[in-house]
Amino acid sequence: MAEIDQVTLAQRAGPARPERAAEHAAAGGEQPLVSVEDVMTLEQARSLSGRRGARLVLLMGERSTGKTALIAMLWQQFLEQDGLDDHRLAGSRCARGLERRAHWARLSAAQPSARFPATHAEDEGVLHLRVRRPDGRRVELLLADLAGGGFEQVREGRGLLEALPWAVRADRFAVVLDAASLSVPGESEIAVTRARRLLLALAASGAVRDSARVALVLTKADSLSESGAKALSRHEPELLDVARLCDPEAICVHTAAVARVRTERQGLAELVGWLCQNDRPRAPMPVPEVAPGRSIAAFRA
Amino acid sequence: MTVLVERFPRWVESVELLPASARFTALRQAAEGVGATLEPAMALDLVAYAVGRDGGSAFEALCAAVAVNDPSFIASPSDLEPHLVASAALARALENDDLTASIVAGGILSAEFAGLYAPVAELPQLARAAQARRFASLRERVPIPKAELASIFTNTPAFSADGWRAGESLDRLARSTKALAEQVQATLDGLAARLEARSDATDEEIDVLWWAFSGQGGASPGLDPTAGLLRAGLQLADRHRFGIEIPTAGEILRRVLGALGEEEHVLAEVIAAADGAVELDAATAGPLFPVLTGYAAWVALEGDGEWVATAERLGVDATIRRPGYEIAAQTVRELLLVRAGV
Repeated sequence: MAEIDQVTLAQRAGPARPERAAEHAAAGGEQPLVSVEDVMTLEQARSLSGRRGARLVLLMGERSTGKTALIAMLWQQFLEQDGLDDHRLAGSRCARGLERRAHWARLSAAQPSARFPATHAEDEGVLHLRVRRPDGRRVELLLADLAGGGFEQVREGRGLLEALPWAVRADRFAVVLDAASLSVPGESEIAVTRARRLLLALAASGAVRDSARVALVLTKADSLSESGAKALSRHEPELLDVARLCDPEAICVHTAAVARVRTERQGLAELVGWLCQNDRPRAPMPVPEVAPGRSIAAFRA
Repeated sequence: MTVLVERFPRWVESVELLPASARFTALRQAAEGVGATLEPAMALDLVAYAVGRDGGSAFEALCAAVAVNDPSFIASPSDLEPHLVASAALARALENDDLTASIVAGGILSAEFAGLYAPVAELPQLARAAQARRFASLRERVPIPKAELASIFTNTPAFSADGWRAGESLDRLARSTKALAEQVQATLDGLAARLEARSDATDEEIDVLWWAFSGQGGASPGLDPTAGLLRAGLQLADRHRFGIEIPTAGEILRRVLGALGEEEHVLAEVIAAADGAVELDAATAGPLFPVLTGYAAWVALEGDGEWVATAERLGVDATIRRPGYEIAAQTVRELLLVRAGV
């Protein structure tokens, strides 16, 4: 990894209130970590995960569904607030990348509709967030920000592991569905079918380990029209059932649109809680027992 | 299938993002190499490092082993990656049927008693299984080997053949007789060793059972009853004739100690109750010897109030609470480790 500048959150210029995050991190007796990489490559992410382990988050969704916006909103929210549901920001190695993405969200905040540039292949990478849970435990989140085009291929039949061999290592799978598209007359069935096919592709890939978690994340949920809300109530249980083929504990999270990010924080707390909660408990691999050959080895009190 | 083939991919999920990478292979080969060739003298250092304590030169040895296959590998001692490799190497070492496996198993179970855990959650289970295998292999009944006598006359001279010469034939006869004697000697030596081991196993079993059913427990006139936990551990360790604890030592101690064994005790209180009157072996102080280290601190400071802090500086938390029979079983474990020469 290239030598990177280390600056504290308090030193970093920004429109929000980063000093709070620094205070919270410092309260844990720990130097807040912020470095100004744009994104991390998988190789860099691996060197980070080698230190404490890390939680790899795969945001799956087609173009313009709001995957990048979701990451930007998380960053923005952490900087603006005292945390999300008692989860505090404890640092990031990709502050520049997160800031760059959040910048568009801020510009769009007062506008009637969000304008958010698409993620291109050359911008793809892993964004790091270090979050302190309410119980004090630190979680290293590696949020994969990928172009939506790749997921369109997966939806059309390309194997997920063929497209993303490292997906088998992911700890969280968030399948993103643009709720706004449900409000467009005649398009709700298309959007739901695409999300369903993506979920089925995920199930068929075998990439979801028994400890990983899956969620259906609805972005721009606050912009649903009446017809969109009806379509959602009709299709959400069905999509959740498909998600539960991979993870019986799968949930559905509704988040707000970028344009309303300053006034509406819907769903982000729930999303962070889901990202940071413990993995699903996995059954330990059995250790073969040795049959006692002598009676003393089978003694019972 | 070795333990690493079966389990290693799952163990490194938290650190290795590319399951088929060269790094993954390097980590696994390092674990395999370190585990398969682990020396008894290094075993406890590796255990200590795996459970997050100072492991002497274990970290450097692990890094060197990974670097053989991945020169780009850089880690610091606090990183998760080398701790996982250390844990995997221990799991590999447990597969051997030798003294090292016994020491590793004892060390891992000691760490568990002290509340120290490696990143591989099933390591204590693997240690118990290894202990049971080692117990069986040292004490099992063994079939008497069949003597292979069919070929013993192949080298003897044919006295009835034409033109035999006395000197040459006698020389062959002498060599043949010597070979036969050596073969018989080797067979008898092997048999003697096996019979001796079997006899020891039987004696050990009788001694332990007589002790267990004698009703004495660890009690002794003039000794605080709580100190009986340490004394029972010492007595059971003294009855072991092999360097690996009986897998049911805990159950035996529960029966011997009765209600005292079921109650929870603070380790420091048990040590203080012994008042230096139980003759425990000396050990190299460290977190894997919580009983002996705490006891040595108490004796050295003659029960001065600072002895708990002294033990803490040596890596031992003497304030832990454990059921009485576990404290006694831990005493057995530590004494056997010390007597194994670690």
